[in-house]
Amino acid sequence: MTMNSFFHEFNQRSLQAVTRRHFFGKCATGIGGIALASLLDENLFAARSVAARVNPLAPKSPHFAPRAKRAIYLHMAGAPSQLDLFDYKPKLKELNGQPCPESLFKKERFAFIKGVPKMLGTPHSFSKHGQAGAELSDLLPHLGELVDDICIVKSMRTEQFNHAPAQLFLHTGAPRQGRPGMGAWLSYGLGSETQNLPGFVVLVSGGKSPDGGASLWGSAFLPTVYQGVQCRSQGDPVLFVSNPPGMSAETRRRSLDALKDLNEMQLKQVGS
Amino acid sequence: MPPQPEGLWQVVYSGDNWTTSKGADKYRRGIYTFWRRTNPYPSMTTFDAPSREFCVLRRSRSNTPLQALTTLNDPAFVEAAQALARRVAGAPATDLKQRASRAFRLCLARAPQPKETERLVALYKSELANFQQNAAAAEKMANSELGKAPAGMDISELAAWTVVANVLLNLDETITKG
Repeated sequence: MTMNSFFHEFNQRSLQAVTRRHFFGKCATGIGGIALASLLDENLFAARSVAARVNPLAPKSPHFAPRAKRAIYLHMAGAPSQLDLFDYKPKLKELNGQPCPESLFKKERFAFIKGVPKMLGTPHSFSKHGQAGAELSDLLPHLGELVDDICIVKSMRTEQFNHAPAQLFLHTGAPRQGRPGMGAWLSYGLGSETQNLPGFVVLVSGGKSPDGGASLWGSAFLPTVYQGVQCRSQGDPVLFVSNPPGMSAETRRRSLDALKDLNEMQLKQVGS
Repeated sequence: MPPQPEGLWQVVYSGDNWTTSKGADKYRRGIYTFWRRTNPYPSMTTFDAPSREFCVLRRSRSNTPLQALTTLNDPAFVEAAQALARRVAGAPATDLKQRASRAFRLCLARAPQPKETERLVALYKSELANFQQNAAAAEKMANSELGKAPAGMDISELAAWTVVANVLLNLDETITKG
């Protein structure tokens, strides 16, 4: 064994001992961990920027070892207000029905509100649950049992009061269209573990698109390969995945074979 | 308003519906397609159409399977294949090779090489045999978007030419500029 290859092997082993490859190999369960490790393998020594240029969805690692394996984000537009679910405001309840104090709306202009608005407190009763003492309303009778395993974030604020700008603000960081959605950023930064499915899948339920529309999962100024691909709940799950009427799988196979042959003939002629 | 799958175009607070235009309006240039930023025309989004939320200097380029699915299966594209088939089958010709060659020239503005013509004719023959066994499928393949074929046209032949046309319209050379 020459000096070079020995050093190379030593280098490789010491890197393996401490990189996230080791982490995912030991800590992830089952096939997923092995699959991810094999995907990461391709990028370990290769010029990562080359891999990314060739395949924009190649998996990329963050600068620290993540603990979460996957994230499922549920955007539930139209749910009751947090003031009726998670966020108890006793002072608001006290002021229920009274005119709004001037200090609160003095310099603001609100759509749909004329004159002096009245305060509206929650009609539901709140109680504390779990070791955390989290306050939940009576609308969530069972969540109380899980409250010590979840995290309720109460520090978010916004000035958007209308559906579409508020949804845009939540998903893209700006109340107007023009910025990429959260999923597009994640796709851009982390790539995708599987190359057989889109890295960012959008499922819309309830029969209606959210008010913010496709801009919520759009890629804006990022390359369009990072945009969300909408899988539909009726008709084709992915648009146009079914063959046209009258075309059997065999016909499609034969036509694809012909397409391939003709493209290859052209390729020989012209070069790539 | 060109054809778009049902249920995709949803607008809030409005009674608007996407009604596919009839007659000549159905076949206008793509630039005249009705555009709503929160619900853009899906096939165009698949091909990296800018969202029109801000100015774009140059359209980005991607290469995804969704694009292939669109050019192969989008009803608007299937309709084009059916129309090309009717055009090719309806014109007088001496033999299959000549018909295939004409279809090829219509799409690519050049004469096909013998190998290319042979490959197309082979596809046509296999599909003709297939559709002759299955009249219902032939009917759908040839007519689903355009409606009843003109009198005097053999439906299995039309269906087979539709498959050939679908392939021609999906060749890399047809779709890619330059």
